[in-house]
Amino acid sequence: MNDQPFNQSSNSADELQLTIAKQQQTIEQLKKQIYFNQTAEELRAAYMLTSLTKNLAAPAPHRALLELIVQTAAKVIRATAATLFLIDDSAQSLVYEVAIGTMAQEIKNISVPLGHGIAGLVAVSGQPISIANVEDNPQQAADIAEKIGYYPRNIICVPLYYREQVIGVLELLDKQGAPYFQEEDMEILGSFANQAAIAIEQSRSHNLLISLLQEIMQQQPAKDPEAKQSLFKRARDFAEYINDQDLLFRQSLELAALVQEISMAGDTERALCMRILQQISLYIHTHQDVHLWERLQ
Amino acid sequence: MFFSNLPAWSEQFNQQNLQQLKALPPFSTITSEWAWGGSNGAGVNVAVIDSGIDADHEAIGGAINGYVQVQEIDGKIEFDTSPHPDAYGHGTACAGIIRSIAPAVNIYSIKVLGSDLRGKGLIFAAGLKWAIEHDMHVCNLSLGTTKQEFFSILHELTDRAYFNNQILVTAANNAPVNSFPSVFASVISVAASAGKDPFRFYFNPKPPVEFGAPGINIRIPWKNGTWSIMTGNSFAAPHITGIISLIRSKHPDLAPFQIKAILYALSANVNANIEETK
Repeated sequence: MNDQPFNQSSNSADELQLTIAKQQQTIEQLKKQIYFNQTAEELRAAYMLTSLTKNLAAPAPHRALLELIVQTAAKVIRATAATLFLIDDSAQSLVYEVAIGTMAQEIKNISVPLGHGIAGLVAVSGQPISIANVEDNPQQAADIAEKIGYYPRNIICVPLYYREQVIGVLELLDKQGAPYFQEEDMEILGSFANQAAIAIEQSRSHNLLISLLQEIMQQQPAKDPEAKQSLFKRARDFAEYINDQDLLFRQSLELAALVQEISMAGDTERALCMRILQQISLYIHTHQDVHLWERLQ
Repeated sequence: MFFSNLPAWSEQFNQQNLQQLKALPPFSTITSEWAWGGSNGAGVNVAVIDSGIDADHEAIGGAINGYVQVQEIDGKIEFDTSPHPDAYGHGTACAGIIRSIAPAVNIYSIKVLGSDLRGKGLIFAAGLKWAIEHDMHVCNLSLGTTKQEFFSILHELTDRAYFNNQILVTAANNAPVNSFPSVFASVISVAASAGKDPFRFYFNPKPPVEFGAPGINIRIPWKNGTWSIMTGNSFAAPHITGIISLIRSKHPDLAPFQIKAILYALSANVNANIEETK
């Protein structure tokens, strides 16, 4: 057995190689950072432009945001065409929201069930995927090709994550300047998709709120039952949406308000509240998965 | 957030980012000939927890040894053991890669991925639990869940597998999110690296993703007997599953930590192997 763990001469050559490798790594990281910053900047610009649009209550700004997201992605990644799908939970389907490229006008109001094509796979698996040779296996583009008559040669498809779940899928078609999408395209598009998902969710709730408020303003004096019904429907939709999307946030706020109210009642009340909450916390730590385990038995 | 500012995990295996590592002397004595030379994976039960397997695909090269489709019906988890097709092609790709490396393994298709997003996390956990309870030696999980509510249950299941000497190979999610169970220490987490040689894989000293294996523009079997050239971490994991199956067949009593150490010792970026594998 050799007492020296490493041969000394090859060690210094190794060190030099490692230093060079590290320096190259730093350069590449800096280059990538610049690229990421540019992407983020383009998205911010797109979002600002949407926010500045005057007609906030109409569906146009939300659509404009989606279009800008798709356009920005296609421009940065250099794709010929691109589509954005959002998941419709109740129908378990993917709804085409926006497309750019030659087939842009064809896709309005089209939805495809999950379990169909590459976008469906990315939506259910939550994993980005790219295909280099779609022309050899046209089934994979069935979601797009059959519906809109566009037959891509290559595809890159990434999930849009908001908090813990996939809310949609961004799919780019036909790489420009290379035979297919590259590894770094997946990295950049993945980061971009996360920012885009946040912008989409913010815009969606903002849109619903503005739409509801505007309706209230317009319909309040009217007494006719149809107008009232429409108003209630929108209010219900909004409440359901908030329930769905922001349940945790809303409940946390309610809990904080309750604790504050009890704390202000006096020292005894505050101590009692503290003890109860500590006991609940202890119970949760010990039993939090009991119900999941029960369902698995 | 469990980890913040997550990178795309395969990024660490880019040519520019890849670290050249020194092998410690005891590990440098491990050779691929010792680890898997002469092995074909015989006697090893491999679970492909995925979208089903197309048994007729030429790449599968033989029968599927068992089927389980996990479904939630009226709030109850049901296990259907009749043969099922592949919903997407994803499971066929994984099984084909595994059999291309370890042709004699017994493959079990545990279908948890379908067209419905509802109940997905629970179905996935139930599929994994089935595999652990039915003597699967190696499980390929080219999928995971990002839902925090499954953190604890998956953590317990993966620990259970670890202590049973069952190896769970997971694909890291290449989107910047936390995907369970791929971020756990008890599993072997894999991302895509460049190259086509199925026996050339890399070690990443900055976990949670520990190994890089071929997954960039590789030719893989797909749905309805077709082939495709695709990129994804999903296709890197089954390469490592195949190699572990070979090791496991030759050395059946190895524990997960020993298998991990062997993989590290035989990684192409560990200096004892750099020349050998060039």
